[in-house]
Amino acid sequence: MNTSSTVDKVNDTEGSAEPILQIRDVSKNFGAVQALKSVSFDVTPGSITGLIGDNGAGKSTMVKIISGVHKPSSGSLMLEGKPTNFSNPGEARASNIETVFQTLELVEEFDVAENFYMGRDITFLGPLKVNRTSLMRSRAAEAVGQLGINIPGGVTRKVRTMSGGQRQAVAIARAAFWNSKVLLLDEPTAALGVRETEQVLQLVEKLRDNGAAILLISHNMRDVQRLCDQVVVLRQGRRTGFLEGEFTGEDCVSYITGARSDIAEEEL
Amino acid sequence: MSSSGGATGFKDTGVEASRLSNLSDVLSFRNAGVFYALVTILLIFTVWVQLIGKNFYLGAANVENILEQAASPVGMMAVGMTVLLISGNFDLSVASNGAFSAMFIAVSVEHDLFGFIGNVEVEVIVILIIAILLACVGGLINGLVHWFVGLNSFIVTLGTLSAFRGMALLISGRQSITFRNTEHGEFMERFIGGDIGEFNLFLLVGGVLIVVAALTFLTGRQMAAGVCAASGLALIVLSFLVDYSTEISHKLVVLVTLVVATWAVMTYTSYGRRVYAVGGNLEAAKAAGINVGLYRVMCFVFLGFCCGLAAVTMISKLQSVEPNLWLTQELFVIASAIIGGVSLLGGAGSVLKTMAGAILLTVLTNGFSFLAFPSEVQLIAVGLLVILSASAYVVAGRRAIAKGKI
Ligand SMILES: Nc1ncnc2c1ncn2[C@@H]1O[C@H](COP(=O)(O)OP(=O)(O)OP(=O)(O)O)[C@@H](O)[C@H]1O
Ligand SMILES: [Mg+2]
Repeated sequence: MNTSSTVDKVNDTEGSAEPILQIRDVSKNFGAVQALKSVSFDVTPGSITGLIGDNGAGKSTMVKIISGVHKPSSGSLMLEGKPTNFSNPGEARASNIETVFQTLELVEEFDVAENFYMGRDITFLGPLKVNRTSLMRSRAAEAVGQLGINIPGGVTRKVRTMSGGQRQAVAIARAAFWNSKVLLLDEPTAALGVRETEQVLQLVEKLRDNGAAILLISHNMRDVQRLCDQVVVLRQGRRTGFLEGEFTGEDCVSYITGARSDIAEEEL
Repeated sequence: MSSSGGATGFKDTGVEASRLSNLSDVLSFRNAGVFYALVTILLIFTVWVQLIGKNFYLGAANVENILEQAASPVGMMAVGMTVLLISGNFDLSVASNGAFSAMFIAVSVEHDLFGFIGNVEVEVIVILIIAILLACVGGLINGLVHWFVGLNSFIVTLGTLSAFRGMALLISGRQSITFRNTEHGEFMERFIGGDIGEFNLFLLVGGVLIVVAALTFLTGRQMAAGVCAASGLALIVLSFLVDYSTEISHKLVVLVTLVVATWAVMTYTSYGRRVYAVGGNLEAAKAAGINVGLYRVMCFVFLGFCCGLAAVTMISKLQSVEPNLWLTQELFVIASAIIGGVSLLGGAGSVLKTMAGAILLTVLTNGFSFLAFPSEVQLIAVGLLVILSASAYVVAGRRAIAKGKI
């Protein structure tokens, strides 16, 4: 794969790759609230798909459906061509889908390494499941070094002692650590400073170049425009727009605000 | 372990530096305060008792007393309570649950409910196993109602506090029951109620420390293992120089085994770490694919198991129960955990520190008795200690934040 892919973000060979994840007519309602209405799109290996929209548009709900937190009210998910129906997040993770949730979902009393391995410790002595703590620590430290993420204090620092941006870095490093095929990133740079945001964006590009299929949620149109190969726009739970190829931040904004829409206003 | 270049620099600086800060964290007041408090109180009593010219406070006879009292139902239940608090829940029904289990043992013996078996020893063992299972079921009921109805565990167990006590009264017919000098009672006494013999305390503690060191080493924490092994060896050497022998009872052995095993599981196994995760951040644990419902319910069951163990070990020794057995003792169980620094919010705490808290309470009672203080003074002192220790943790936490350590 090419490494300087920031410039040529439309990559024809990647455009023709088979989608790894297909979302078809997914709807979700919470009681009377219709969070998603018949949304479909694809996520493809080696490319970044943007998912944008105003607050409450249904972006996080979509992420939670793909990652097995919520079940769709109707519609289907296809992973590598096979229909899937995750009943909990563990199953999604076992199918190589890794998520950075908007709420990060870190355990504050745990250190970085413990958060990395939470729920999937390396153990020995069979059913006694004794943790190989120092092995996990050194693997986590190694991965953090290779990812180029700066976590002062190292992997034995407790998350409780960290700033919001540092926590976000830990959550992203954890998702990247597992070399997953599908990565869902729900506003991964929301709390980050300029330098840290740049680091994370470069990391996302690196993971894309390594062949991961990435779904990126962001409110920052410059980042979306720079990183995403295609963009799905949600408005009030409907997919109102789809952008690929050459598009600008203004294009995104006009779909988000409803100035432009692929769906007639009365259908919303 | 690995030859990758980019990571080695990070590993050397990061992990080494944090190892040093880990050591100072381990010794910090926030972390080890309860041990410092325990040593301080022991010293105060020793000096005080010396000053008024009584026997040496830390003499073998009194240490035996303290250990006997610490190996109480409160101590055993506090182990399970710590695990439950770490998982993010709370249980007020422990004393009632244990009392029901104890009452079941007494009633079974008195009415010879298992006489059809025809062998006293088998009958006793069956009764004791069922008693423990019943207490587990009590915990299971608490856990299931909490998890599946979604009711706050404080409310669930406030209800079962009363309900289990009522059931204990119901099966006993509101009578005290004594089965001393029965065949069953005598076997129980021999089986689990009595002593296993006289042991050198230093040798025993040293031995336990070596076991702990071995476990620690297996998981790859060489430094902690080294410290542990060194102090264990020092105590073993000391045991040949000083004869510090006390009578060790079965229930003390049960308690120490329970504490060490629970601590090891909570600290070093995947199961234990998941309990911490579930209590620390339920949503994160769910997102990590942990079966949070199972873990939450199992922690209630484990606490029930501890209540059952308390009933079995106590009743085998006492051989008599009264309807009000352990009334209000749940307060001391929770107090032990709070003095030991367990967070009521879940996700933090240690069984070892809870035990130090339980011993602290025991020493307080024991010391005041030694000094012939009236029991009302002891109650006031226990109350103050709970508030004082909890405040100390809060203040120490704030100071750590101010110093930028948190
Ligand atoms: N668990 C829930 N129960 C009830 N309603 C929910 C739940 N989760 C989301 N909603 C509703 O669904 C809608 C979509 O919410 P969602 O969190 O997906 O928005 P979002 O696009 O991620 O917004 P933001 O940009 O603010 O993160 C909102 O109206 C929200 O109130
Ligand atoms: Mg959201």
